[in-house]
Amino acid sequence: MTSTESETYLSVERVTKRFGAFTALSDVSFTARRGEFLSILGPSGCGKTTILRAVAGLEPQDEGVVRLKGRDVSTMPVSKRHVGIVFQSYALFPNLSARDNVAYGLRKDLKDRRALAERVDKLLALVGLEAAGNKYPSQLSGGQQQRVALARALALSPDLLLLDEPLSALDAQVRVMLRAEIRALTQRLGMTTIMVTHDQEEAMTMADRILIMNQGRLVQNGSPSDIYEAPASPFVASFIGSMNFVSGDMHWDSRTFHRGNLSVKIDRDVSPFGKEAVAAIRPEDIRVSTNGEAGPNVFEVEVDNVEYRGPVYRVTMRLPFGGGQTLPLVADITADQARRTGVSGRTRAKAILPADRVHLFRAEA
Amino acid sequence: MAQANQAAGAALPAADTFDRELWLKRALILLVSAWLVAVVILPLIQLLSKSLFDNHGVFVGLANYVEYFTTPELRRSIGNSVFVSVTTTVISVTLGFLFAYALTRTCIPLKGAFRGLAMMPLFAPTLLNGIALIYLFGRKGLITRGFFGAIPGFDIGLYGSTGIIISEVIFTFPQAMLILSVALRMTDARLYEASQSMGASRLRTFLTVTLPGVKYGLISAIFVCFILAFTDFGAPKVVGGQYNILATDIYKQVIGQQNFTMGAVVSVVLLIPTVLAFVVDRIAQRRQVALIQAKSVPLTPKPDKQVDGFYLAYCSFISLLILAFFATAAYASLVKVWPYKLELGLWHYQFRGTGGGGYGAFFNSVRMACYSAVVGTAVTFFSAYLIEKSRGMRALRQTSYFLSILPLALPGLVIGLAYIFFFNAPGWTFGGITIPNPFNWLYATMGILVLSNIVHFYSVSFLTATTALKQLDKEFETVSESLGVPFHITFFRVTVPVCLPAILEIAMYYFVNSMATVSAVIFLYSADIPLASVAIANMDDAGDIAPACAMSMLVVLANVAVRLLYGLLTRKVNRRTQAWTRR
Amino acid sequence: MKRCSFVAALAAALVLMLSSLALAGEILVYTALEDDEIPVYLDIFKKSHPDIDVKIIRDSTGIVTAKLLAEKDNPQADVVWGTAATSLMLCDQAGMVEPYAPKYLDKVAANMRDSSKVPHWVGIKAWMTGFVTNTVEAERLKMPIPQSYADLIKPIYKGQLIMPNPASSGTGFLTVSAILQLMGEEKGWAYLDKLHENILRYTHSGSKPAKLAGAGEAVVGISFAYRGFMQKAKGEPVVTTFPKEGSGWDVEANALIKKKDIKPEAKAFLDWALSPEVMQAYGKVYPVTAYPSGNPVPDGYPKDPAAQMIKNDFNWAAKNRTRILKEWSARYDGKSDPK
Repeated sequence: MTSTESETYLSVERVTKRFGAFTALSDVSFTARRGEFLSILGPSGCGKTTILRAVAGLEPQDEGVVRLKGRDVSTMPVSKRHVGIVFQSYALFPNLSARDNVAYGLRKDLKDRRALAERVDKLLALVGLEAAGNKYPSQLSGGQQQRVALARALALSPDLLLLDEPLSALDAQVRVMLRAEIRALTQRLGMTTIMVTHDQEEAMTMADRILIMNQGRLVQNGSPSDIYEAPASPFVASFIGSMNFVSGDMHWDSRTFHRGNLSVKIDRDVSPFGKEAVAAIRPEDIRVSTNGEAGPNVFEVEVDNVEYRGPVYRVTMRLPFGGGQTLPLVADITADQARRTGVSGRTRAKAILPADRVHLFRAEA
Repeated sequence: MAQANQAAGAALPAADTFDRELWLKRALILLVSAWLVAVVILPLIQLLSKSLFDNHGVFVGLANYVEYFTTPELRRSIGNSVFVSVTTTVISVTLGFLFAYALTRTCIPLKGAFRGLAMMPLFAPTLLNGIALIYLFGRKGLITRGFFGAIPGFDIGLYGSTGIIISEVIFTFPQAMLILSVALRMTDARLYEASQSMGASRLRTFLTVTLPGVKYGLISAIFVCFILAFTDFGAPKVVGGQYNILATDIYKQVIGQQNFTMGAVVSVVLLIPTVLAFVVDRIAQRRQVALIQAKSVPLTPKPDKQVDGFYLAYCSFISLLILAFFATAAYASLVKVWPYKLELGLWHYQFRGTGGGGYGAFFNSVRMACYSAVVGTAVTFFSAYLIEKSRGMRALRQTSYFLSILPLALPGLVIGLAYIFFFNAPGWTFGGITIPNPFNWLYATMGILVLSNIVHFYSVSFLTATTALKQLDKEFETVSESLGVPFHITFFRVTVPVCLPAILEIAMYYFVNSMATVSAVIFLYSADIPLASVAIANMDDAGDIAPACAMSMLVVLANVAVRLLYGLLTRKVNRRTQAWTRR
Repeated sequence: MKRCSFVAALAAALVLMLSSLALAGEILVYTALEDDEIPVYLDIFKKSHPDIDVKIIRDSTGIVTAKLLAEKDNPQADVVWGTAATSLMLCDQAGMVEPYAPKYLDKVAANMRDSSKVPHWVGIKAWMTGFVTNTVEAERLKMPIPQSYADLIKPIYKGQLIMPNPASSGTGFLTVSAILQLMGEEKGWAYLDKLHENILRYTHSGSKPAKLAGAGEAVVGISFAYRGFMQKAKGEPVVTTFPKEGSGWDVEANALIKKKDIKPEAKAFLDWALSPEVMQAYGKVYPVTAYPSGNPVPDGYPKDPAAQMIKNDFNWAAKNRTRILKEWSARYDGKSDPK
């Protein structure tokens, strides 16, 4: 494996796609290394499926270049790009058995029946469906259908595997199981994979890198932890996980954020921008206390409600900032913390916002 | 950098960027559009232009129309046609609605039998409707004479509008019933539960839930019944007597007086309301799309003694009428001399000394129906596939789609007449350049008969195919493309097998209709190729009603046989399909 | 490649299926003879000319005429056989007829052929008006069997008569023409006005009134004699009578159509159509033939059929045909069958 190959296996350069007056993709660029698992995440209508189809060659872009293994494939039809695709619906041929579905693309190359059968057996084994080969799609469970679709897409050993919302039609449990399986399989095969999804958990758990899209633009591109820890915008921050937002003024000299008589110390490496800013903190970063704790970033709050959410409790609070006005604030605390603090609805408590956990964004016009 | 990239892209071998599949599909869609233009649009243009010239080929503008509208007998036909078809539509849709309601919303027994009997008239040429009525209500009819004097009879004054309306109701009733059955089946049960939970009365539920729910089906049924009644000429020809309508006027002008120009004028007049009805229906259907998308719960009827009793009586009554109707025709075709010598035998099935071509004509019709079924199904299904399952080329595909449903608005008589003009024309001269007609060789062959049938029954078949294709995952084509499998392999390995029930239905539809139709082919058949339905018309003309009735019965028998064959094949296909749908 | 061959196969199948069968030794004959006569005569033709394939287009006189005239610029028919002489005169006026002197012409009676030396048309037989009355219905309704034109306008027959439309039926035209010639135009139209009162409907075919009378749909069909006799033979309760004022009649005649290549088979057919063998067959059911057939007058006809026939002025009839039909249509068209 040469270094250039490992660096950019797939590159999408400044791709734009319009449907009539509607711009579905606007100047989208990204790359993928060999064997990398990319996930494209975004709300519906953000253009994530369009970019997948552009990479596949199904909706050729109007501007920009798609390069696979260093070769410009922009004008190549899908049949020549050597990509495997799995659709949300799986699109399994209902009148063909699982075996025949998997063998569908192989027939033209493998004329020898024995060799074909061996290859199909191998593929079915790869997805753990050795026993179900002779069943028709409708006789298979959703998860099994998904595996057949995967085996079929992998049959021709494609250069690139494209997954379009592959798990969205499945039950929660099967989905979790298949996430791990698909990830393990692509890793084992060293298959470069792009998956489109609207499920952040799926993207976080499966992808090496997540591409967040919004309104036809790529808004952030980074590892799951980068994106979670350092969201590039309030949109990303709220799309991945949840976040409390407060708009106010930033005093860069003292590194404090002000809203009314509220002042929050921020201890984060942010290069200064204008005065108006949005401070944000994830619910799980807020600590809640009921003893007389004091110090910077410790605020008196009114607790409205404590909601049981299994592993965590969600505490809904109001943070006063002067003149009888309050800001809504939610915190997620562990069961252990909840027990120790004994926090409950309609009481007063202290909320602690750790200075190094507060994000800052430019106020959006 | 960017330049270098482009250079690299340009340097790729052409074979890698040339999408053969896409271009082939484009070429095929273009071919489909071209074929539709050639067989639908060009003949219509020819018909229109014919109506602007006199019989000697001199351009006269609208003079023919002026002549038409100043001839009182001809003008009267418009009113007659409208009256007859509106009355027919009201009766048919009402009867059809009740019948469909019984089949879908009640717990009456024998639904399959009722449905089968109600569909019987679909298998008969409309001429038979008229002929059977003569045997029932003519001066010597069973009812008029009280079953040969056994009971007091009464004369309904069959010949004229009465006879036409009864015939057309028999003809259009099954169509209304079928369309409304589909509409009634599609309604959402939850709406009824909501209505009942709010304590709405039965009438109120009917007015606020049932009727709005089948609104589009109702519009469709009205449209179909109106057009069928408005354009049919088989029955009016037999029992119309002195009551002239547009469809018979065309026939009278063209066949009786060989006045093709006036025939073209009447055709255009006939086209106006049918095209209007077509447009209204299309607009309604487009609105409907949004309605179906919501997931609805199918309604399971609950037994109700009173309601079920009423509908059982109603369905039995209608079914018995239809049964009696066909039984009368069958009986009359076997009687030696109606009503004087009631011995039974096959005299009239010998077709000795009658016109029309006898068994030769019958087997020509069978042959024609077979060709129409095979070629028509192949062409229709493949065209629908291309239009429905191709990516891109939106404008072209939409145009093709429109051209495919346009024949719905074209009466058979208009198609037949337009085809005479178009295919018989030796060529066309535009600004001094003469283009010879490349289709001229088709004139007076079996080919033009098959073609006219394919076009005449194209739209319904096309819509059946499109509906079936829409149910297929739209990514099948993409998957096979990504696997490098050419589309025609997927077409034959997946699309056709999965759509086989629809394909069989289309083939049956083509066969049955080609067998029974008279309107288009009566202008197009040649002496070499007499046809059964034309023979019925000619024998009726000559007054040989019993042999005409016998020939009609043969057509019905052939169609029922094909329908049974279809049932058998469908069962077989379904058994195979169940292998892939059983869980 | 496979896809190409599929398309090619489809195209080939189409071409094979659509190709017409154009065989040598084939002629197209237009005729207005009765459906039940044609096979009898053609069987005779087949015996002597097994190689000639005869395609028949049969329709009512008026329709055959209209069809011929409509195809004037591109004639389809090779021969017209057994169609009213008045109609053939019209075609002749349109320049569609090629004069031809068939074999046996010298035997043909003078009033049965065109007077030109090489005749434009040659008759084979004459047919005449006859009233076909349903005896069962007449008895039931206590109606006398009509014996004259004068009888037909009696009120008792109101709504019980069926008559062919002269525009499409040769029988219809010869009857109307006879009435106008017998009574003179003015009285003739007045008579037809009264007759119209009694008519149930006008049919486009000359035989249909007889058949409808046979089926009891009307009591009296104004038709032609042959029809009534054939129906009686089939067992229908009908009797055929002849108007005592005299029957309208016309000659069923043959003509050769003028086209680019006149086939020898067409001439052979015309020769045969006058031959003694077929004349004998004509004569079995028609009393008046082009030349004596050697048969006795068929049962049911008057002893002297020629005396029953009016003195018919064909030239007058042909010349005035269009005018008469126009007048007729304007007066009575409302009661016509479609077509």
